[in-house]
Amino acid sequence: MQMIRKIIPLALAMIVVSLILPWWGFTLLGLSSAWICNNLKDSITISARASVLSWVPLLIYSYLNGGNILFSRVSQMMGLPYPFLLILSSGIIAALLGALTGLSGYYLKEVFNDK
Amino acid sequence: MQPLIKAGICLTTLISIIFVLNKPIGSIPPLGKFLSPYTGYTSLIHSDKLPAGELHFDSLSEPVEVVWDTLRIPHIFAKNEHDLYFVQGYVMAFDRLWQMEFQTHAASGRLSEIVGEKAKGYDQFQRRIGMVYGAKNTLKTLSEDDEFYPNLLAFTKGINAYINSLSPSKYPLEYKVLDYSPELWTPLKTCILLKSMAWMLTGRSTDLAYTRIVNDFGMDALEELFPIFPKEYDPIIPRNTPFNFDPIQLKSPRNLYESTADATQFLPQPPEAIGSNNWAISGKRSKSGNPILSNDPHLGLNLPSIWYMMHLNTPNLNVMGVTIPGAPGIILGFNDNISWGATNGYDDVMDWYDITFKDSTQSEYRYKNKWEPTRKEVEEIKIKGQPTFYDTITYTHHGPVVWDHLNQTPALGKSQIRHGVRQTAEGRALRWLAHDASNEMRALYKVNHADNYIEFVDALETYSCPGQNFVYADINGNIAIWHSGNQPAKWDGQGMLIMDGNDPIYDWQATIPHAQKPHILNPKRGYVSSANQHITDEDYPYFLSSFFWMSYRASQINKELDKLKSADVDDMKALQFDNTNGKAQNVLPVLLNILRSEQLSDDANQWLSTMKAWDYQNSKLSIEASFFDTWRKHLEYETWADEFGQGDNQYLWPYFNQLDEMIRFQPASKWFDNKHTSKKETLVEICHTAFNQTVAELKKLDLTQREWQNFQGTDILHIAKIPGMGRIDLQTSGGVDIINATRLYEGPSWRLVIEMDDDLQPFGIYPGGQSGYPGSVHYDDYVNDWVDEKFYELPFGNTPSEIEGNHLLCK
Repeated sequence: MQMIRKIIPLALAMIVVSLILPWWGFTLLGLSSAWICNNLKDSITISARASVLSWVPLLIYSYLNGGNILFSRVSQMMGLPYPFLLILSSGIIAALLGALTGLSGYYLKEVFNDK
Repeated sequence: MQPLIKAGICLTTLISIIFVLNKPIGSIPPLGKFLSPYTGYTSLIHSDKLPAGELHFDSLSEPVEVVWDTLRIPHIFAKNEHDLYFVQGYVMAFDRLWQMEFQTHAASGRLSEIVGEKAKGYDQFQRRIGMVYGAKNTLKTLSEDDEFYPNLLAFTKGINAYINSLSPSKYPLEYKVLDYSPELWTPLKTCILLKSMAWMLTGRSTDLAYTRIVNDFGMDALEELFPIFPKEYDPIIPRNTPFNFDPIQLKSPRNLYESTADATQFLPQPPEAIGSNNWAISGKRSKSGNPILSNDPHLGLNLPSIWYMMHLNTPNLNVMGVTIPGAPGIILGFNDNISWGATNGYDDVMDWYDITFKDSTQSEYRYKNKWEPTRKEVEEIKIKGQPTFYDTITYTHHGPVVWDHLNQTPALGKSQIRHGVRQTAEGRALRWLAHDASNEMRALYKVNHADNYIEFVDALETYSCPGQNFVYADINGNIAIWHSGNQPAKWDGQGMLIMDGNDPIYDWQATIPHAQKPHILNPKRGYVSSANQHITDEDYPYFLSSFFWMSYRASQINKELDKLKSADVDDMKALQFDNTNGKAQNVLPVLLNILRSEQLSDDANQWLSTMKAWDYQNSKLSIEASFFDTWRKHLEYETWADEFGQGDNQYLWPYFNQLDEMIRFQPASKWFDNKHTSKKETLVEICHTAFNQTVAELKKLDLTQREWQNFQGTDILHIAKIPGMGRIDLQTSGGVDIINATRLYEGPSWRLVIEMDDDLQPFGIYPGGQSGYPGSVHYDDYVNDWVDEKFYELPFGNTPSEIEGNHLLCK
């Protein structure tokens, strides 16, 4: 429950940032996850989950809200047999970047704490 | 490990991954940017939603109303032409921006900027044939046209108003896939688009192929196998029509120049199966007493479609039809009083000249036995992710030197090129009508405004290239065909072979005067028609071309029109879908008669019975059409491959009508003999061999695969060949040299049938959809109906209230 309390605000902040900054802007907030977590595992998990949360629901909504033809064509273009695999691929990228930012953020926090 | 090092490694990895995901890799789009729901493809969902309510533009002087009907055709009602063309540009860009720009990039040799090194050879060729050179010449003429040029500027402003309204996240899908951004539109881009049409329709060049046949087999072989006028042809202007004018006297050489034609490779050619049908019947042949016009241009089929339907209205104009995205006005269509369509004229307006340079710097070339200076242009081909490639093109008075024997060498540095290192002392220059200053847009603008035959003919006077057979019908009961274009007046055979660039007798000496261009008005037979066949018989005083399409389609159209005494629009629609295979009708009875049942296997005898019962229709379920098509290919191979290679860029094979004549009238022709065997083969051997090969080939297919709709079928690919963005395996009927000329990648790109009553009845369709956005239902919503051989009734009127649909007010 405590984790969800951290993930949701972070995901919302990532959404806001993504509307303003380039597509990778959410990773800047991912770095900050370390400051709201006590350990490496939490930092990685929370950042990755928040990143996925800032991407995947929006993709699912887009698919359901008039995007089915586009998803179908784009998945064919990418060589994926089903549109849900396209959403899954996007989720994996968001998770990967989120996890990596969580990791980076944790070590950055350590650097600052050392100082 | 220190936290600082760990953080450094992690951050470096993170930044590297972001960097990789931000760039396209090969044909893969930049994954991070593309898959992100904030900047990627999903931000385009609903981008095809039509604007409604009001839009405000500073450039408009009066309100303009746009109504999109249920077919998503925009009907634009403006009070003046400036506002009309501004909104036309805006609306067109709304639906087709990426296509418009991509086609201009492709035509002007700038694809390498988008797709990288793999397009360099293509770009270099586009530069060398002078696409932009021709477009600039045309723009110069256009900019002096006070009547039309302001409309082109307004059109350009309209496109740019749309481009400027887009944020990067709203750039059309293909920009995201290929990772680039739109440029602002210019009038030059419109000219380039029209030059690319000229290339598609006049770029078929047989000069090198014919020269090679003359050199290797003799002039007799060329005349026998590629006759300018074959035994059987059915010209557009019926035979024995008198040409009552004094032709221009032309000087011709006593002895024809002999080019070496060396080992140069053939240059790229437009798709072979480009062709079209058009016809008009007069009131004498229609049920209602009104003329009916029909047109179906056969072009390469792509998505987004080459055409875009529009209706344009001002107090002085009410015109509807199709245009090419990026071109103002209407190219093919109708207004309140007239309708028109076009088929390609196939005039030979692309000639080649051997050039001798004084030395390898190519600074001077021999002309009239003197050294004349050349002009050099350095083309800068920017390549994505690579150094820029520079290509120096030498220009003579004929035109650009396209071949200089080294033009496909790897990139050299700019300094080397400027010193002329890469050039040779011989080259081949291109004289192409599309290079000339011309004003086709003015011609089409005037056609849009024409109210009668006189105005229509007058409008065509400035039409230059590509030469077209314009069919015409009006509400006053007139029908006509005009062969239009600024074709050079040529002596007999001029430009069939590579010519001498030194001798001025080979230059184009004059242009055919407008009044002397082949045309026919209200002929007694009650119809006019054209299908890319010969324009005239041998009595026409100018040489137009050594290549026209065989008359199979034309003859079948005329045969069917001859039968019609009380036709209506449904008869005209049905004729567009006529699947009669004229080739089979000619040769099949002879071939089947040759076959000896006792020499055939059981399978072959089964096919023999099947083929004897065939009705010669290339209908969707026909297995006979598949068999005949395969048999025909084997027959051609067995006849020509021993002399003319195996289609490997060495020689051109004679066209099928030649083999057709040999089968029917010269079964002992020497060309049937395989020169690689000691035995003397005849048509009988070839016929059996090809038949057995066909039986074996079709045995590998199941019954469904043998059906013509699956055997040939049609694929409509995306213009940039992006997978998933096209429509493939469409089950179509028809075929090459059949009125319903649907093929694998080409076919009827627009179908129009219109009865010229006071209350017009237009019907049309094209294989695509109005939207260029692949996520839209309107991207390809016409395709299924096109496959199912349907037409749409096109809503047309004089006021917005007559059109039902989505209304937008532009102020």
